[in-house]
Amino acid sequence: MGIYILKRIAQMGIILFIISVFTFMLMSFIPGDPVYAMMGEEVSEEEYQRVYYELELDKPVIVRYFSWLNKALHGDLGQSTQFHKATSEVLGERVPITIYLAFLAFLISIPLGILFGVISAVFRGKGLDNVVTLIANITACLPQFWVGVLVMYVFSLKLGWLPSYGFSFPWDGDIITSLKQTAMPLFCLSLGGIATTTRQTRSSMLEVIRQDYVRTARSKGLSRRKVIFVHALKNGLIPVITILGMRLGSMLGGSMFVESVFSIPGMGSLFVKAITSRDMPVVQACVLITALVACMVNLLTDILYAVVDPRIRVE
Amino acid sequence: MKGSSESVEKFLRALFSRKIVVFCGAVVILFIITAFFAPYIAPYDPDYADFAAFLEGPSKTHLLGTDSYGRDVLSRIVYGTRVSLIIGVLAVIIACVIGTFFGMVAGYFGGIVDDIITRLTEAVRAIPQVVLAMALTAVFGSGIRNLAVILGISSMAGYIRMMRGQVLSIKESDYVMAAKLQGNSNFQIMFRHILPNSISPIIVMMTQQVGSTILSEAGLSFLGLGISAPTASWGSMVSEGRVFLLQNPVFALTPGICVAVLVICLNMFGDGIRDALDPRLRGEL
Repeated sequence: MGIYILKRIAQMGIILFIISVFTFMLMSFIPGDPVYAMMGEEVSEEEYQRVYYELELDKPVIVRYFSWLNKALHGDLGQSTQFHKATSEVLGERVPITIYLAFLAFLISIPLGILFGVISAVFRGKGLDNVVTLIANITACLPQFWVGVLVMYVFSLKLGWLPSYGFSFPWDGDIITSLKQTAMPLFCLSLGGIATTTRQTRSSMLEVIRQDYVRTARSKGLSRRKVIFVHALKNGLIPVITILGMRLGSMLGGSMFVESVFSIPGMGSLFVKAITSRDMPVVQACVLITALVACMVNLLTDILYAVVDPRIRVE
Repeated sequence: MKGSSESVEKFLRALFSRKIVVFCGAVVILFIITAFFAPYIAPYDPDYADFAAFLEGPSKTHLLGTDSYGRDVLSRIVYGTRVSLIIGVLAVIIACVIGTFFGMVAGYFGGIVDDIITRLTEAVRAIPQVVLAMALTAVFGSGIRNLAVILGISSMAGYIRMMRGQVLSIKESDYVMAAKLQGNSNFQIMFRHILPNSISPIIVMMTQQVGSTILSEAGLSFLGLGISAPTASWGSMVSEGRVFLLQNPVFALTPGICVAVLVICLNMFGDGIRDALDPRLRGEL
């Protein structure tokens, strides 16, 4: 087990190294002069020289990469060109909001998805299964941004129940206001997660229900309920673990849309703004952070997978 | 197995035996026809701005109303079909060609080549697809051509992984060995023997990817990183329209419905193709 975890951590190290090279390269891929690309064409000679040396453009790429990496590892991700502040400072205010929303949406969508998936599998082929599967298939295809616009139209513009923008944490200030503000964003973020988890749970449960040991358990005289919830569910949930990691990653991706629909000052809306204003240090930082979080979650799910399913460890 | 007219017939019969698949296929074809004949179907020029009639609700002259510049929403949706389908199909072809090639090379040669390609693929997969695509638009800019390339590159990893697995499972089979003994070169074996025998998982993957690519394109356009202002695209229409939800909700909501319907039908049709290609499932149905 220990060796397996060490091996996975080493692999993650390699992956993170590749990602860091990739994000660093983003800067060098920009066609034309990187200084102009960052600062705009009408930059003064003085400013040009400052940025030129700040980016160390007089040095070879490899030197630049390692000095960038060194700084990044010390938490220095450069200066944001649109906010004129340190990138780490800009992100510090915004990342917690996105993580908070993504994590809550994750917590909402997983149990619900598993519940619907199990219901669907248990009633396979019956009306209930068809309804659940159809709804799951449809919601998985809905564009997140459109769902956001739709619920905003219904619940804040037409019914006036919920505020259409804004964000606050429940711990600083009014809990009710915070809940009202986060209700629609969380709904949009969880919807896709519920749908994919339902589909995954359904198919892996169906796979398990067909297995011999389930039939044996049934023929021993155990009740259907007991077999499903004790024997089948335990094994049926193992494949679901793998998609958990991906879910959190795609929640971070989905936060771009939700944050921009509901004007939430999180990392997603920052990322969009950074791209439109060519604020490359912020773009790099956002890619790095998302990849880092996704990698960590993947590592955790892999370890969890190995703990739950001993067959993985042997290999 | 491949190519013989009998199996093609079996495949088609299995595909058309399910009503829902046929229905979804018909809807997809309807969208394709709309895209193709957009100039004949659209009642107005999508870029013609009638400033006397902006943000009108649905009426007889403008079936879905007008947008904030007085342009006909229906006509813009009809033209938006083109953008979505062109980008969806192009991106999938790009991803498929490059991804299949690298996956095949990784699986066939193994060793260090495999290690390098696999690690790179894992690294790309670690970044959520939207984030990756967005980062690439920051570098390369947007527009139809760039967007197709960017979405293609960012969905390539799936093909590499699938193809690598596919090659590993048939590399040791007798007919590959026989081809090797006949003195075929590595690339001959890859393209004449391995590729044709992996064609069904490739087709399945492609049909399933078109929908998600269209979804990504709409998302990027919604965020203002995809198709830029005057060109009509579904994503950017939702984005323009959400400010005017109270005046003309149809303007913002219908393009999203189009995205959803097209993607749902593409995915269901894709699932139908997958099931029809799978001999095990074909027997059951």
